[in-house]
Amino acid sequence: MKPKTPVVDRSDQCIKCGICTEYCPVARVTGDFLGPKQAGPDAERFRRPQDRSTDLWVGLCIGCGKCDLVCPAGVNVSELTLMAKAKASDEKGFNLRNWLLGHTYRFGSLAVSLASLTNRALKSPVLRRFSDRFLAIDRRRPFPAYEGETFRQWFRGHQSRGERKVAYFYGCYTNTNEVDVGIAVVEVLEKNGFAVIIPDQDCCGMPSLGQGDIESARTLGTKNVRCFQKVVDAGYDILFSSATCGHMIRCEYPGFFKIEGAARVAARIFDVSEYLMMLYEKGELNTDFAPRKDRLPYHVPCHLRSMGIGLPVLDLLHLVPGLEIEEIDAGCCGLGGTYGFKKETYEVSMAIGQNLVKALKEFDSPVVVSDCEGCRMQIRHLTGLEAVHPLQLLRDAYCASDDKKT
Amino acid sequence: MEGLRDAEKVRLDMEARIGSQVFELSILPPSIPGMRLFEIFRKKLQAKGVRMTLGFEAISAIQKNRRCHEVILNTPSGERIHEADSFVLATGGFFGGGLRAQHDRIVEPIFNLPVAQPKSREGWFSHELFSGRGHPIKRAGILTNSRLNPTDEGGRVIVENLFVAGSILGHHDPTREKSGNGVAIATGYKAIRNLVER
Repeated sequence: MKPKTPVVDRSDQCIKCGICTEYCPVARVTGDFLGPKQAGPDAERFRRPQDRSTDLWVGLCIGCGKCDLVCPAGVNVSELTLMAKAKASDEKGFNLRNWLLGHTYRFGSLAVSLASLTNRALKSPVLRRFSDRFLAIDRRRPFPAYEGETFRQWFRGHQSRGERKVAYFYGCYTNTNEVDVGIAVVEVLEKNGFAVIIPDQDCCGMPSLGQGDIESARTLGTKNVRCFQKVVDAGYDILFSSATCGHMIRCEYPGFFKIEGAARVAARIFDVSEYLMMLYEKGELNTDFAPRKDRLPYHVPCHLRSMGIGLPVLDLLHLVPGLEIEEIDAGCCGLGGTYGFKKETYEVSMAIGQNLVKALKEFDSPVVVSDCEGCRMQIRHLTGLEAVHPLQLLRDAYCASDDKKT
Repeated sequence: MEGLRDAEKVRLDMEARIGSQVFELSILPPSIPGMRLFEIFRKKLQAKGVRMTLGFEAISAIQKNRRCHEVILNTPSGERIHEADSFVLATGGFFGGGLRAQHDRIVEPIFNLPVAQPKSREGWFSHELFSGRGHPIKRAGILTNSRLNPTDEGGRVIVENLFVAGSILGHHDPTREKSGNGVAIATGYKAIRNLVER
């Protein structure tokens, strides 16, 4: 068995207060998960690399990282849990379902080129029953639809012009399932005088990491860091629009994986909203937004909170005249990437999301804003509401302002 | 867990069931009343548009002319600078990491404020940790004026726009006095009042 990723064991710092369990979204909804304290620092004392895992319930951890944030003693709770999860999944051996969920990026382009067929198949009750029964992918969870053209293809036919330059890490979901988010990012950056380039890139590796497949994630990370180094050396900053991919490439590559060179490039990687606010603070942001009289809820992705950059989306959208944007702090949405697709965790995923459902019902807006595709997917499934990326709103505000002038 | 969200309901329910008065005693960390209070404030403040960033350690402060301008946080995205007009220092005592013992003295690591403490290391130790007469190490902490600005031994203010609250304050002994939550609430409230009224 391999933990090739050396994780510092800070379980001795744990003061056993249990605040992590109180704030854990999974422990709140199911007694099968004993909580982060037990999964991380408590059980860690009894784990020996040569012994088989006995605490298979650690697989129920959704990976939101809230435990790390609330811990008063600086214990790396989620890392310890992740390592235990990875060890258990190694012992179980190859699992087709988990491999598929971790490697969807390999089929993305194919799925897009056969989009109408793919989408029909993904909705087909026969296939859903089959994958429910034989792959344990819960049939109640809708698969996201594939676009007819990838973001990359769209970009190839697009001329990005501007005096300044910036690179964009769009991520798989934007590329194959929500191309408009990528288009919105490019258009907003161009409105601010940037020529956008799209560096070579692969999946960030988060879906693999979610399966406890650390080595696949590391391979992707190493490849990406090599690509990032080239653009950073050429003087580019790299922006991301997905909180989850961003957390991976900015925080986990240098932090958890300790990939060589990752820390150096991480200093040049930014969340797109954060970057636009940095421009604003320098007085360089184009604020020619058409007013929009609206009051919208903003759901903060867990991976954005864990990044420690605050909530730049709130500041950014406040710049649109008339737009009131409010943080709804209802905790984790419950999707947890591929977690919400698995038969054994689908119901946990839905139960976690109920706090968000309640908060959105109280808020009573047809549109919800969130900068993680997983959260948006879950919000649509839980509530049927429209879920948008903040940059789509911003792009619309620029466009509406252009329309007025002509 | 119900006691964290609706404590009064739980208390009344218990009273009704056992037919006797029930009161709450705070125990080991985490402080249950503290968490309840935190949740009340969190909801109210967020509704007012206040941003909360939870879970990142403040590691240093940029100070000039007896004023603090910026505090630096250590995050997974690297060091982040936070500017503000005023700051509250409520980092706790030894347990919370607000005070640290070096080889020969006790220090406050963020602002490097002077710490009232036993004259020498010998004064750090006593056979009775929970002695009713108190323990000198627990009375170590930051000195302040009545507005809770940190001061030196002579009462001169060291950082004018900094307010100190909670168990990092010197000259109280939460273990002997059983005053931890009370001091935290009272001085936290006072610190903010003073900050707002500046």
